[in-house]
Amino acid sequence: MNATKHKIKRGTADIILISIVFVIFTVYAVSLLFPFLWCLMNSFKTQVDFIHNVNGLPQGWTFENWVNSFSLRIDGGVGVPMMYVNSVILTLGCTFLSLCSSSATAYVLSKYRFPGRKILFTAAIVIMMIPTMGSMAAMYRLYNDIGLINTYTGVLITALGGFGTGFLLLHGFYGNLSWGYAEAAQLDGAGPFRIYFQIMLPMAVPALVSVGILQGIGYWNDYFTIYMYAPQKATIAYGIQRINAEAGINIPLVLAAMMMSIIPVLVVFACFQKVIMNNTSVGGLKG
Amino acid sequence: MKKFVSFLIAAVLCVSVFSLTGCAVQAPTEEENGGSLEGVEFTPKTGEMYAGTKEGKTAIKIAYATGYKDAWIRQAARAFLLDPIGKDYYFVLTGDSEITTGVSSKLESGRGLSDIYMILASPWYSYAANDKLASLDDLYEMQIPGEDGKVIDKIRGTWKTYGKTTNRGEEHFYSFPWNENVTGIVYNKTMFDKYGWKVPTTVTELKELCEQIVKDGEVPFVYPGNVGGGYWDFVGTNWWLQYSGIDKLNEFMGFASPEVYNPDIEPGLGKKNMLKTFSDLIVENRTKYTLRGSASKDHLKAQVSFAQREAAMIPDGVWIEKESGQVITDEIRMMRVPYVDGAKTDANGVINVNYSGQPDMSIVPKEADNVEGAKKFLAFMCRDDMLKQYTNLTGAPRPFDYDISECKTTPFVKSCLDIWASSVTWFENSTSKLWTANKLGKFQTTNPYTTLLANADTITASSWCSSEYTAVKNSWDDFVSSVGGI
Amino acid sequence: MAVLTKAKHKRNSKSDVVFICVMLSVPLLHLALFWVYINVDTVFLSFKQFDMNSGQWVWNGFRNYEHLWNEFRRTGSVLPRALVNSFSIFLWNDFVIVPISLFFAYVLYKKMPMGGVFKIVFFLPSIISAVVLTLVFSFMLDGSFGFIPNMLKKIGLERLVPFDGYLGDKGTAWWMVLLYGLWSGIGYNIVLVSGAMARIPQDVIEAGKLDGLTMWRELFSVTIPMIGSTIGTLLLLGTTVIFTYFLQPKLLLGSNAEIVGGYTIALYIVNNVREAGTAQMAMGATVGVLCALVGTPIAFGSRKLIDKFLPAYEY
Repeated sequence: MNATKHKIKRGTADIILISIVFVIFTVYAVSLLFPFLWCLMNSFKTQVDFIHNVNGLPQGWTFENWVNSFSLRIDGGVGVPMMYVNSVILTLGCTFLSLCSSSATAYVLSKYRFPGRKILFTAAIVIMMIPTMGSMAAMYRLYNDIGLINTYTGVLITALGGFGTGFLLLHGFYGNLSWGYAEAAQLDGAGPFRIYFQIMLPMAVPALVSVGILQGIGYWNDYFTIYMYAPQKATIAYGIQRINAEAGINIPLVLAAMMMSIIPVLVVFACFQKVIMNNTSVGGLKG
Repeated sequence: MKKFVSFLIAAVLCVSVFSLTGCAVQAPTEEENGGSLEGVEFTPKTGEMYAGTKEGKTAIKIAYATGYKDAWIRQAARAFLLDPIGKDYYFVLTGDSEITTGVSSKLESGRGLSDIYMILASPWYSYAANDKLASLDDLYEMQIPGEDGKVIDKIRGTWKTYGKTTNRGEEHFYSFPWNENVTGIVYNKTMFDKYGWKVPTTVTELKELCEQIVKDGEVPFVYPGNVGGGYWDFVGTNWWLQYSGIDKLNEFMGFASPEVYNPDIEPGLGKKNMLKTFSDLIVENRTKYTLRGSASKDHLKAQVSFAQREAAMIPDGVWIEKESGQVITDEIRMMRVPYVDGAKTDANGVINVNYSGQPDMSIVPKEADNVEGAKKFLAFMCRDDMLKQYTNLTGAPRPFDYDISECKTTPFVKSCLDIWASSVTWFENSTSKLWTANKLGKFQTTNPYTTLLANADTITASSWCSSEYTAVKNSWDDFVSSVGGI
Repeated sequence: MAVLTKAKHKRNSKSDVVFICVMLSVPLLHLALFWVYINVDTVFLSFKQFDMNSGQWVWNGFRNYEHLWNEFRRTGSVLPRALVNSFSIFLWNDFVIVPISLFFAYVLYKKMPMGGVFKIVFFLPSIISAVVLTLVFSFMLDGSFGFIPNMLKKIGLERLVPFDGYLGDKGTAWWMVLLYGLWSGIGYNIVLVSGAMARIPQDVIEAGKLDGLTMWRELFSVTIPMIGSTIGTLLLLGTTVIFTYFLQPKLLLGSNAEIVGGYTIALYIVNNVREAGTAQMAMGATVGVLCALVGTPIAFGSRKLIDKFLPAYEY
């Protein structure tokens, strides 16, 4: 099961097609990069400069907005370094817990047959479809009474739900994962726990990484949960939202603040993308 | 892996550098505080402010919307603490930009409550009807500390009665005035001076002005079409008030029967006339008189266009200067909404009205820890010097009788305050259950201004008003029974 | 292709039962507490009305549903269009965005030159919050300083820009929302599909190549069937947005959404109910219950269809 590099042999028709697609990709990539660079460029402008010169290069490059963003302090005295710490703790924590929960439900529902299985699955989808009025107040009251406001635990608990997007995605993945691997282990006397933790879960790593990254980004950008339940554990997303809400028409400031959030994620993604996208050949199973 | 680690180190270094540069900027400046904070201790970290010590004193916790920044509340709190009236108290001040949306959950949960919430327009009737708010009757009847009169006698305009609503069948005051706004047409004085345009006082003059502006190669109006009604209601309701008079509009807000929407009799007739005026002036000439693309602009982009001199005028309010900072480098002023032909008159001539839009207000939760302290502070803020200080620090008036001529403000704010001081301010106020339960609105179906602009070929002011009237008539019984009768 | 088999049924042993219970315990508890407990009154709310006199919720029978129906039928009502728009999102998602994402992911999987760079760039929109992304998108389209109208003006195609701007014109507004969805949504799908494609055994492909398998036949005969579960999931996810899609139209079109034909069901709820305070919550609950009633057969039916056309092959 080593990753083998294949020499790509393509026919002429394939080459022409690939070239056309390459052009399309380039156009699309430019359409994505251009706004991103626009944001970056404008973050170095003063407010006045931006208003009078929306698309041009800065008249006088300034770091003022970056300094203001990074030196933000929210009530409770939480500064940007602390916000990064909170963001990392909560993102990693929530992602991990969410993956544990979703993987458990996805695996069980896809590999085992039991009464209520189909209902649970349909329920999961229906739950995602309904725009809940959901009593924010009821949850807030509950958290307050248990003493979970302004705690890491409180926020982490919200991530333990096993029936969201992550569940659906992993369910699809486990659906493709052959039971044959488990059968081999069963002959050796392995029980369902061993099969899951020692065989299936390791095989699911690429999918878990993909889903984990997507969910992680969601948690990284979520400001509302922090606002409602743990404002003293302010994260980067919350800080940016504060800047956004109070900036008025100081768009360069908002754009600079946005960079605080994007750049770490980009760096992490750039490093991890090799792991996800790697072509690993999985052999070892016949029949 | 090595690459990742080195990236990480680089990132941490960058963050530290930026943040350290910020470390020096820890304490708020005097400008942010609105002046010196001598005599009190203030900790921005916790929002606590006290004189001398906070031992043995009761807290007054205030959560406020941040649109006007923090200077005004810090100075008001300081003045209260330094006055004998405040000797038993200390403050906890929290600015919250999301407060207007978050307050309903806080009230409903009954946990973590502040003593005063200063919020923008919101469904406070529901909070009151749900028994979440403290009655403020005694606040309105309170004598203003250091003055002879009562609070309620000093309030001017619609706020005299606005704060009342019903809770469990009883009517009490549940909200207290905070800000008042002035709205109208904001114009670029620099452009006006450059081309020699005259500020119009009547709609006829406004039309001539628009023609002149077009001739000079400029565009008369830009408006934020993406925002409720494109802000045209600031002009429209002022016109409606001019056509029908305040009494008729109050009658409209009584919602006694569907006939208030009837476009053939007042007050519905005034509404139709107003929309006709709007149609004749703006809709018919929209490709000439309005800036291309206005319909998709939000408030921000409309201001950018206005700042870039792409248009000479924009319907807006007194907050535009506070919001846009020093960005609009030209001189701007507010003009009173020009009078329509046939505007109502009184002994002094044509009536002067100011439509302020839905108000900003203070509310006190019923289960707050310190309801009495909250009321004392709110009454204290009605003192003359406190009111003037407020206007100095925010550029906005409060709906009380006080002399604003002494206020130190920018020329733009002065132009707004001049309009405010010489007008009766009106905004939507109703105790009808059909209004408080959100069954009926000032415009019942769609927003007429943007509807007319988007459907110039098919919908006219008359047809819009007629279909609104029909819709109300058809649903009337349904609405009335759903609120348990009126 | 003898190696592929469909999932087999098995009977559960005792240890299996224990396993199932343990694994599902925390998620089910979470569901019960954070969803059922929190939302159970909203079902009952749909049958109640808030009485402003007494400040109590009183029984109202089916009146709310009747009221909603009247609102729907009223001339000039925005609700029918909202319904159409909401379903168009689903169609757009499942029949345009997912196929295009699949195609992009496949080409990248087949070692497109500069593939790594493309992957990172395509993923950019997923990282940036919708608030900022829509801000940038709307700035690009603005009539005065937007890059696109200015460029069209420069090449003499100004008449392609409507007077009211792309986001303010009835004919183009909703299409812009859909375009935004496509532009910002592809990267997300690519990451998922690529992850699934990475698992496909290469020896299967090698064997197929010896039989003369072209790149494009491989896509339809091998790749798609083998990642069927993942594609099925994406299609299913496309159905879940029907009743919850509101943020992007709200950010892009603002209060003008109803006027320019950009309304959705979720936007109706958010505008009229969440922001209108207690009294209107009953209407929100009513719409919610209706969504559940309509959504359940859709979810059920979609699942069956997907299982039929994209069965899960195990490998």
